[in-house]
Amino acid sequence: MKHKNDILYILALILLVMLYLISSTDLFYKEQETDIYQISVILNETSDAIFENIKLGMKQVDKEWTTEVNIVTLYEANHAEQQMKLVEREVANGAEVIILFPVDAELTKEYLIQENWNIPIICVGTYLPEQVVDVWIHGDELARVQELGRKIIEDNLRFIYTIAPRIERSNVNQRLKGLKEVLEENNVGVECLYYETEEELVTLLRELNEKGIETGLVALDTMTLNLLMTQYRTLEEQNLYIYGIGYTSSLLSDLEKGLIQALSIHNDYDLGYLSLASAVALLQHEKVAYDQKVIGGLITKDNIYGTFYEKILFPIH
Amino acid sequence: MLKRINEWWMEIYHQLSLRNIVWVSFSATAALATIFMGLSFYSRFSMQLNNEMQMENQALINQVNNAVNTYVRNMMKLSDTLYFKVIKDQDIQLVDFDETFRLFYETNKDYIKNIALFSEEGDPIVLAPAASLKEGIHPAEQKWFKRALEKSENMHFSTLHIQNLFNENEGEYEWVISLSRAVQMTYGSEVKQGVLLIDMAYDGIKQLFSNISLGQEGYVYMMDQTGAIIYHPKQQLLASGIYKENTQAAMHYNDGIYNEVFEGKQRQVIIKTVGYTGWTIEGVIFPNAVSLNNKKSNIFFIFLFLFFTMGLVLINSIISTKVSKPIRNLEKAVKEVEMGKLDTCIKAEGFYEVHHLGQSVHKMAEQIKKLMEDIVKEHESKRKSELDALQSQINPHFLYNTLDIIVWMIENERQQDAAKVVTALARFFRISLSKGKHIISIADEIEHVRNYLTIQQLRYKNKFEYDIEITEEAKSFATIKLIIQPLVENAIYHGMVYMDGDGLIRVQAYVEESEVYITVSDNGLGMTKERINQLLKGEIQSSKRGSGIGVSNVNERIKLYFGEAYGIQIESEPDEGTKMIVHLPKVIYEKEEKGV
Repeated sequence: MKHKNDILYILALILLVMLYLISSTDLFYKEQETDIYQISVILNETSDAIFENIKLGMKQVDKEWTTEVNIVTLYEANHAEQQMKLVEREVANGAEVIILFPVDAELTKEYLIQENWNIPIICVGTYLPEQVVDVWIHGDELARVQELGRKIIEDNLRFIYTIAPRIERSNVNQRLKGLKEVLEENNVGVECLYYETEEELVTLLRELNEKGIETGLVALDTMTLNLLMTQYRTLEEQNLYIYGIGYTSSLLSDLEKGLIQALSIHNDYDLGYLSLASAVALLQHEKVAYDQKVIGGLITKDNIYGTFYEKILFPIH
Repeated sequence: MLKRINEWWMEIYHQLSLRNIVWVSFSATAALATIFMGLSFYSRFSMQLNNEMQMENQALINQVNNAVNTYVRNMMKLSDTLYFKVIKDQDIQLVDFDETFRLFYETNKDYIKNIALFSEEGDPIVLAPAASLKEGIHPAEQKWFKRALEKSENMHFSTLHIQNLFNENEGEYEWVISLSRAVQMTYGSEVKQGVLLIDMAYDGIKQLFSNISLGQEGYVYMMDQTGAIIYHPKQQLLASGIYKENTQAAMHYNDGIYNEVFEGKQRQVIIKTVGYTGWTIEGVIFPNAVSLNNKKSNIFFIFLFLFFTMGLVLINSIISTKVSKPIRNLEKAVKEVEMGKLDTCIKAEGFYEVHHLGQSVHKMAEQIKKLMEDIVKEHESKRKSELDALQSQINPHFLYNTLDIIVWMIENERQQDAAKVVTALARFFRISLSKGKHIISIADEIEHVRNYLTIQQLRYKNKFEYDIEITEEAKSFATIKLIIQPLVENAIYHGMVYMDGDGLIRVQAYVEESEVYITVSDNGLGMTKERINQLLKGEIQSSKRGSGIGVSNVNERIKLYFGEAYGIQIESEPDEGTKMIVHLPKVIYEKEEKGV
């Protein structure tokens, strides 16, 4: 009996010591530490100028969690393979999550399947299937281009040109397809123009501008529109009906001035916020929805300062 | 049900040792006390902490409110100064306000984006910083403009919006709150209305809320009277619906503190109204964010509780063992005594009561031992006395003499007398033996004496007469056997042998004052007091020829059986006779027989 009591006392003592160590030291259990999450964002452009609102959205996440975000741009525009090499480099440098704005969906998919980097991948914009990426954050591209198409039809244009970089870009192809469907259904002619260099773009622009009024031009990506407008502002005569996808502050200013007729936009702030928030959630082993859509719309000179679009276009930060 | 529980409990209780009862009850009491005190302190401390935090938070909200109030008043003062000191009563056509406006702007440009004066039609009169209006933008169509003219006596604060009037910073879009008011402008002899606009930079307002912390998850936001958010740490997410805020409920709150549940979370909202503007500041606090309730704290409380409980249990164990050990030793000793080991050493140790109990038990054991020895002695004595008495009855002299008498009587053809003697003898021995009983009825004892006297009378050739009187009442009482015959024998041998036929032996048995008395009186020689004492002490025998029992034996046996209060009393005077009084208790013969 005494022996049994002794054993009980010893076990009780061990339990007390364990409880003390657990409650008062970090030996067994650490209080939630503030982890710094290493996240890399691989853009699909050579500059992050058009990603301002996306970056603001990411900053919002940074207020809630401590993240170290590395934003990587391409060295050459629209270079899908280079983008994959950059992903590889970031993974090797210790990135815990990759937020990717894919240049070429098919190539990206092949690479991700082949390499199998074993870290969460978040895709923004272009569609990549759930087997390949963990989260896909996007706007409703089809709805946006359809809206744009309807606006073009409203503006009574019978023919429009689209302009985009010559290289394959998945999102551009999707937009073109969607736009063409709407326009051709309504008997609006579409011709696709491509450029390789900025000079080529400028030349095309001037040629189109000289065609006279009621020539519509749709820039299928924001970078193209940016480059385009940089030149267009300087022209003495401005005859084109320009439409675009995406926005920057200067493009909005052009819209206000009537140089651009309409812009199809998504809530870039939300894209940025959701992409980084999803990255953090994945690192905290939380369940994250694969398909996350952000709102968007078509802005014109008349509704740019409406309550709905004001906050999308000019995020408070 | 209760009775059953009680019975069950008592069954268990009787099996528990004192040590276990003391240990368990002390430990349970200590544990309960610890829990109670711990919970009380925890709850009190938590409540105190929460109250302190609530007061802190309220103070913080008040501070923010004061800051916003000060900011708003400063803007209003600026507007007043511009109007009353600069514009009013000055002829617009003659005075150039540009420099003054620019100066005001420069002085306050951390908080102000634009200062502008417009005519009633919306035409710009003064703009600071210098700028032009954007094409196609008509100030008169703006809400802030219209409201200023609608209620010209007030100043108006617009909702948060992008200022899109001016060309100055192309490509830059600033969030502002427009403070507008109607002003009276002098145009020569005319006074016309205009609108003074001050665009308050949103950054200035935002700064007032930066670094305000309301606990781990708490935050502060501000909205106008329509529920439109002016400042919120997640303002942008609210706009797109990713984040939700309970503005609908908050719009209806007056200043004070409210508890609410929103999006499944318990929270507390402190409301404070900003003067003049109708804006409200909402401080949202999550009560559980400031609490002692985190994993490590909980584990620490468990550790503390177990530590104190185990400590108390250990102390209680030691104390209960120490307290109960002397009792257990005493119990062990008592068990040994119970088993008959009266020589067991009973230690009187421990605290006072146990010590005293030990001493008492020790004394009791010794007394029991002595009593048992006395009983043994008494039994031995009784047995010896009875044996003596019995043996005396089988004294061969009496038998031989009696048989001689019988033979003589037969030879002398006195058959009837012989038969009488034989019968008496038979009865005499029958009662003497009484089937081995020690106690017989007084009736039988008298009968025994009667038979004896019958034989002796014949032996002593009628030298004496005898008379036996026994009351009916006395017959049924009990006596030890063979007590009267020795007295009668003594009366015969000391009193009657010297008589010439006028001797008388009287035997009486009666009840008096709840006692039984049997007297044997004779009118013989009597005896001196000395002789009486010698007789009672057994120093002399009545006769060598007699039974040999002796008066002392009878006295001794009576005292042995019935106690010291009973026995034989002898009253005698020389030459006058002797009376021996046997004093017995009144015991019904049947009861005593059963007790034997």
